[in-house]
Amino acid sequence: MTQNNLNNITVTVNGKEHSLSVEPRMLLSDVLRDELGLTGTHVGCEHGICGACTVMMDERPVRSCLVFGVQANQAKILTVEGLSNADGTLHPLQEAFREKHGLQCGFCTPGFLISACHFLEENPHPSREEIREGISGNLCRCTGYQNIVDAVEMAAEMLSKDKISETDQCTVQAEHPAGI
Amino acid sequence: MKYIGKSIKRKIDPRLLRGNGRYIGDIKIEGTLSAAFLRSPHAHARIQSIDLEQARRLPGVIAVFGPDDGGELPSLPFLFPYPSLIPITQQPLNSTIHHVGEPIAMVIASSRYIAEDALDLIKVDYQKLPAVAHLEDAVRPDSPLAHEHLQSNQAAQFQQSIGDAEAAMKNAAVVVKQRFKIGRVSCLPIETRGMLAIWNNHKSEPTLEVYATTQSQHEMRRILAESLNLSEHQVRVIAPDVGGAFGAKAPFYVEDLLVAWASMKVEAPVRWLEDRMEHMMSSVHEREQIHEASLGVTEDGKIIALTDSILANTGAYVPWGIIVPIITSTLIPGPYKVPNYLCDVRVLYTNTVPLAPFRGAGRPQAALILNRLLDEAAFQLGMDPMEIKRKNLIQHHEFPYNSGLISRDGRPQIYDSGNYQKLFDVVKKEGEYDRWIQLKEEYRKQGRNIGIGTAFSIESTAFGSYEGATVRVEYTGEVTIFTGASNQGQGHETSLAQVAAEVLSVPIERITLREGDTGTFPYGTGTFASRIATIVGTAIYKAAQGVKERALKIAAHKLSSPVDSLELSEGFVQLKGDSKTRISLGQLAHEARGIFPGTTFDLPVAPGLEVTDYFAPQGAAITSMADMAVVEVDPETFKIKVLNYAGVHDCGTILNPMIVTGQTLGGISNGIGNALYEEVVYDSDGQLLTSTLMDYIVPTANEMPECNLHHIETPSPLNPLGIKGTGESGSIPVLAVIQSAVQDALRDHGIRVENIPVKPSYLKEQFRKQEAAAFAEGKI
Ligand code: FES
Ligand code: FES
Repeated sequence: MTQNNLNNITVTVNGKEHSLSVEPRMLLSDVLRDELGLTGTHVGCEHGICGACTVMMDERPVRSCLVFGVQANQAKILTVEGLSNADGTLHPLQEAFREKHGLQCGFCTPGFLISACHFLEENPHPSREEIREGISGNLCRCTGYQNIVDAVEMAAEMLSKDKISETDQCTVQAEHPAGI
Repeated sequence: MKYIGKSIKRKIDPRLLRGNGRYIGDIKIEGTLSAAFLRSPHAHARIQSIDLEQARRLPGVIAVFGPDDGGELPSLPFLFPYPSLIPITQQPLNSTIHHVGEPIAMVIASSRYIAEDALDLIKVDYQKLPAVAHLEDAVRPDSPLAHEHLQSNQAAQFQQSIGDAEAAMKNAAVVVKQRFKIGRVSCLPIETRGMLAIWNNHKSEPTLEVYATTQSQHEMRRILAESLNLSEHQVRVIAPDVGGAFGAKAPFYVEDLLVAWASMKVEAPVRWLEDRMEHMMSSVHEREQIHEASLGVTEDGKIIALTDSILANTGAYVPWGIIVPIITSTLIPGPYKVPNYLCDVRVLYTNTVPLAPFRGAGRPQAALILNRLLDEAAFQLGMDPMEIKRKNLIQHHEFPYNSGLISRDGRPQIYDSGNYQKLFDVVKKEGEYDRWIQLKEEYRKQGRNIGIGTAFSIESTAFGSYEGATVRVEYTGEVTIFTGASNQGQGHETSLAQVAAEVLSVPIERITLREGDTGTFPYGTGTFASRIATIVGTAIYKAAQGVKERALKIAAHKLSSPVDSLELSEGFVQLKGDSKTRISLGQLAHEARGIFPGTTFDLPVAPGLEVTDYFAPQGAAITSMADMAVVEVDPETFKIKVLNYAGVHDCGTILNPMIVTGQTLGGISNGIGNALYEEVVYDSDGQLLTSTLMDYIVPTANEMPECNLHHIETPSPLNPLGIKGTGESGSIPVLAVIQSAVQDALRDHGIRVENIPVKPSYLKEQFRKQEAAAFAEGKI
């Protein structure tokens, strides 16, 4: 592709603004991974089924393999790298995944964390059934899901106990050093 | 024990949870080019002509390679020979294609977007050849040939036997027969395959460094060196973080050879990441078999004879020999006493993706056969299906048990240890078998189709040559372990460190395990066959014992006390029970390496507080399991819901229960997918009909039942810690329990369930057939 096909976009990722030129056909997942070096967002299918590439875009979870980078112009994006607190401590969901052994190879994990984060904001006190439904847009081939359900259940508990700080929400907009 | 047997949290998790994993796609090396493959749309064809010129002219394209270039490279090596096998392995960029998805050209470009653009510019004229895809077609005498130069599609034929099954069958009070048609599945790790190859030609000795999604980096190093005319010392293979594998990343593929070769040709780093569609059409599949089996039992349900004739698909090539059907045929008797057994196996070439081990590797099929035949025999005898199974189990006092078969290494197949009666007791209690029997009756009266399925099964684990480990104490007192294994999410860095922590009494946080790199440990076999905890675990145990011995000797010398008055405790060697007189392991490591240059080494041990040791097991350690499922089949939609799942697994000594349970749960979900949803489908011409996750259905959290899992521990006598493998055992009984439960749910309707996966459409078809038959007989 030639230079004249490039479009200028500005995106705010994990609280940090980036201006860059991308081809209109470049997927948001590739913009995040290749242009911004945020490789925490994974690509497992590139056709919108596995959910590994899920990120928050303007407070809604999206599959970044189904969004073009140019569509994210002016958007606010949260990736897994922005989930932990600015001081590096893990988000309650991340803690809970560790505690309940909710990950094995970890490849699907960033997508699950983002989906679950949004799910718990919409439904802070879910039943196990509801959790299963809530994370059913993400595939995991390693864990058999049960431990992920346990982890989301535990995180719901933790989040309802602690007063949720700004940075624990998945709509976090404070600036994060990339890739903590 | 302080560390072994504890659910210690995984060391790797915080990094992965922050998105700081380092998978193949994440490794950034300046100037890396992208590879993309043009793949055949035909199942069997010859390339008449191919025009690569337009692709070569696209700006950003560095090189395009086609069949003429592929001729420079050898065919993939033939692994796992077997006497009757006619081996055909894949030729990179061959001009004759043997399955849809086979690569025929490779583009190297500055980005993947451009590489894929270039693929569109390649013009190919194919001469289509007759193709064969389905097993039933492949065995017909007039079938198209998968490989033109063969006389038939038969890749191999062999038999396994115990006693004289045909004669014994005549004495059976009841003989049941059943056909089993088992579908084909994809391993489907969420991270697809990939490779980053870096040819470094600027040194006196050029080197090839390869980052690969592989389960066996040492094997990959050997094959790359041999195929590319390099010495093994020039090749380093690193498996970084790998996003699941389940068998898909064990074989060596043509893409592995081509990407490494391309980096040599273009003298730049080259990366290839498989996309999901490529995965479906080029990464190995498994499971597909057809069985015609018969079981003869006495009036009180004792097994007299078992016969089976198996057709097994191997696809277009044999990347891992035919070990899947071999394993199936040797494990059909499983945990049961089978005095007479005859199994005839025919393995067939077809124009489809090759089949090679997927989690369970031939064992889920084996577990299906006899468990289901026992269900049917119980039904005919009016017995409880669990009771007939219990009656035929090998007894605790009968171990070691010689099954009478020869295992794949040519030695007698001996089961090392087990306690199958206990499996029965625990699953019956914890699965609430008796309560479910009652509930089933109640629900049935309400018109609900509820069924209970049970199965006992075994897994032959932890075999196949050897593994090694180096255990080293650093000056800081930290312990580093190097092994030849690789990790795809199993948590080795924690569970294997627990072994060293136990022996050396060092806090687990101070132990670092490094694996998956041929540059840091010279030899290894690979992560497959549920073998790492046992074989690497034992190698670490032995090496750590060696380190302990050395540490004690040095400390004895330093403290002028006899060795047997000393003990290791929390990173120190101390006088037994006296933590005041002690030397840290770090200090001992310092001593062991010689304090100052030029001083005479006066310790009574070899220098270095580091020991390398290997472990080569004498045979397979046999893991065992008993599982139970309850399902409900909707009378209208035939949707199958798993209401309850209970399992009891025995993998000998457990290193880390949290990790073992996690492995089992993962295996069960692969099994449920296999039993109910997943199927790779080809049409009869070898066209792939399931190339995306839209048509290949993988279970989500919604499809998985809550699983109630238990473990018992019957140590293996084959290694000092008594460990047996566990990575695959979850998947093994699931086909049997699910089919058993669905059959039970529909028994009153007169439906016979023979297929895997058991899909609503299949059940509907069975009902339709049954109605048609009843109509023909004038019953309706
Ligand atoms: S990679 Fe986007 S959904 Fe799978
Ligand atoms: S942890 Fe491996 S895919 Fe989910």
